[in-house]
Amino acid sequence: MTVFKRASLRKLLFTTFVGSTLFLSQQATAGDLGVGLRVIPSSSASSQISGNTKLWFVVKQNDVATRELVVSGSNSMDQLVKLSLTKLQRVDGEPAISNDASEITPWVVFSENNFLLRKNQSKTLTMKIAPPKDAKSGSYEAYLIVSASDPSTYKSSGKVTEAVIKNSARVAQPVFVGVGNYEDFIVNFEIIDVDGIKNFQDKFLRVYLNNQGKTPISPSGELQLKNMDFEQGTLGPFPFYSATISPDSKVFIDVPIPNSVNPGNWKIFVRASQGNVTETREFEKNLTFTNRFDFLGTVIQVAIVLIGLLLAAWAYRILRPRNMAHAPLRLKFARFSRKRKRNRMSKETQVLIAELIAKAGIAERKSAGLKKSAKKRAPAKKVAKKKTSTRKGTSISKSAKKTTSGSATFRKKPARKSAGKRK
Amino acid sequence: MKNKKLAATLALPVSTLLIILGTQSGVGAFATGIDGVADTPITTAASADTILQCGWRISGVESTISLANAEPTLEYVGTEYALAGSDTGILIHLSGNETEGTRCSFYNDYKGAQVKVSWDGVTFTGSPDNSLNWSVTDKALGITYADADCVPAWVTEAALTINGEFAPAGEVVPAAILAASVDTSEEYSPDAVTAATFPSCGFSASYSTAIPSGKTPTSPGATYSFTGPTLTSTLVLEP
Repeated sequence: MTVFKRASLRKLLFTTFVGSTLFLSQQATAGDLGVGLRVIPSSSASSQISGNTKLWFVVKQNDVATRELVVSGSNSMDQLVKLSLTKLQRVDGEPAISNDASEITPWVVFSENNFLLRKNQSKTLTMKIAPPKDAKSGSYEAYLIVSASDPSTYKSSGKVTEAVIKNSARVAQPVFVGVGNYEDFIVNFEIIDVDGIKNFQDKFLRVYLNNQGKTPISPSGELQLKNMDFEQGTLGPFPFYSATISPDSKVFIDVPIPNSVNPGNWKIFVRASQGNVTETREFEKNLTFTNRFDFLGTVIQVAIVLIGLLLAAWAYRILRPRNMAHAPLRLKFARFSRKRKRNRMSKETQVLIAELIAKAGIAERKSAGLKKSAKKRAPAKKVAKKKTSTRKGTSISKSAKKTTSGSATFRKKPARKSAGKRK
Repeated sequence: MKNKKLAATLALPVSTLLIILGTQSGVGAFATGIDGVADTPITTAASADTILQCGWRISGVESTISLANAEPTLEYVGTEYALAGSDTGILIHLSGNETEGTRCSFYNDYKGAQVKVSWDGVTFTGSPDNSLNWSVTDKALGITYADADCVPAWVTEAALTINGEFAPAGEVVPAAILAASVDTSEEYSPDAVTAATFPSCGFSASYSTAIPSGKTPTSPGATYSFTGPTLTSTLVLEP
């Protein structure tokens, strides 16, 4: 089982020197992978969804759509860069990268792929999508994967036992492709509503948007306010930016506004743009700035105070002086402690007395029953027992009136009764 | 009755505390309500200069991680042989070009990002032969991520370890930032022309495993080297 043994001193020193030298040299030669991706916004005047850094395409069958990308490399090493398209699968509603190639892969051509990117260099590439004539109209989602890896093969020194883990670095950018007539993929969204929101000290206007189109959108815009109750200048514009809104979904964006916007009647002008599509809407609103957090906090506070008061009232009811109506709490407590101590002592004494009485009773009956037959003794014992127990109960209930204490089985009930009577 | 009295005695200080607590937080809420009366001046600024367009970058991922024993002269003698290595200086950041920290802007088109680490296998395959091979189900490959320097908007796993349940097609997320968090005035402040204040996140990864005990090499006396699963660090944009 034991196959290796500890090296001799000479071997040890040699191995240490060679091994550590080689190990260090491996560490030094291993470079740091790095990759970055920038999508150049399309400057096309007709673009509705491509005038941004998202990889969104709308393209007809047999037509071509193109976007430009900039891939940046590592600062310390040359890398092998590979571009590919993988499936975008939705796991629990969230987009996730699949290892399988996307169905749109055959339609996509990169100006360059599987190339060596020198250190400290960037490369501008084009991505062309050309769905064939028989491509089914509809929406397609995928991930563009830009993968960077070390082109050299790692060679172990063979001097040190080691395990090697290879790394690769990637950037994944979601891709949306709408295939079909452009009219089917027109950007279509609306500004539904605005509402005042207060989050602790900060005030916001919540802008509700509805994406009714078949393309994702990421609109930006601004809003302005004018007070209708008082003559005041217009406040704003206050800009807002939205994250991606999926087709057929509603979102809201909280736009920070100054605290000087007090509750009242306000005229609010909202403008939102996606590419060359701009939507505007004017609202006349009585802003209230509901602060759900404060409301909840107040409810909790009131509940805490109420619980405290109820608890205090209950405690007072239990501990209130009965005979010493005006006695201070300290005296009552001392009395209570003394009572407990006395009760404990009397409990033991009572048990002893009860036992002695019972024994005496039995002895008495024994001496009296000597004259009787053995058959008659048995029921006499039972009677004696019963009598004893009755005596115990009686004596204890009497003492309980005085001491309010009792043994486990017999004294509890009388004690409770006596307490109840006092009430 | 005695128990009740005892409970009531204990209830007294508790109730006092509750009343104090309730009324104190009430004062805080009232103070919040009257705050922010003064007008907030709205300032505007304009600049004709433009800066580079932002792009997310991942860098500092070592192409090869070598896991070795802390004592290089130690040899496998049939007992468990520990192997460890690390990768420090992994950085996720925004930049206008391939140079780190170059000021840039998304020009109102913000993107969040997250790092996902996945792996493609579970076996450490040895050379010159397979006699000492092991699977992570026999001996786990532990990966511990440590947040080195991330701005608060990042959600990071302070220390995350993958062990026994190391399975193919799995993934972990050491760091993530939402698009909304990228949209802060600090990043593109005109006052910050000399220094980048981007929401970067740096972290390190420590790897550990071991050659399991009780194995017999086919080539005793030889130095074995093993190749483990390939790890892929993916920077996912717009998560």
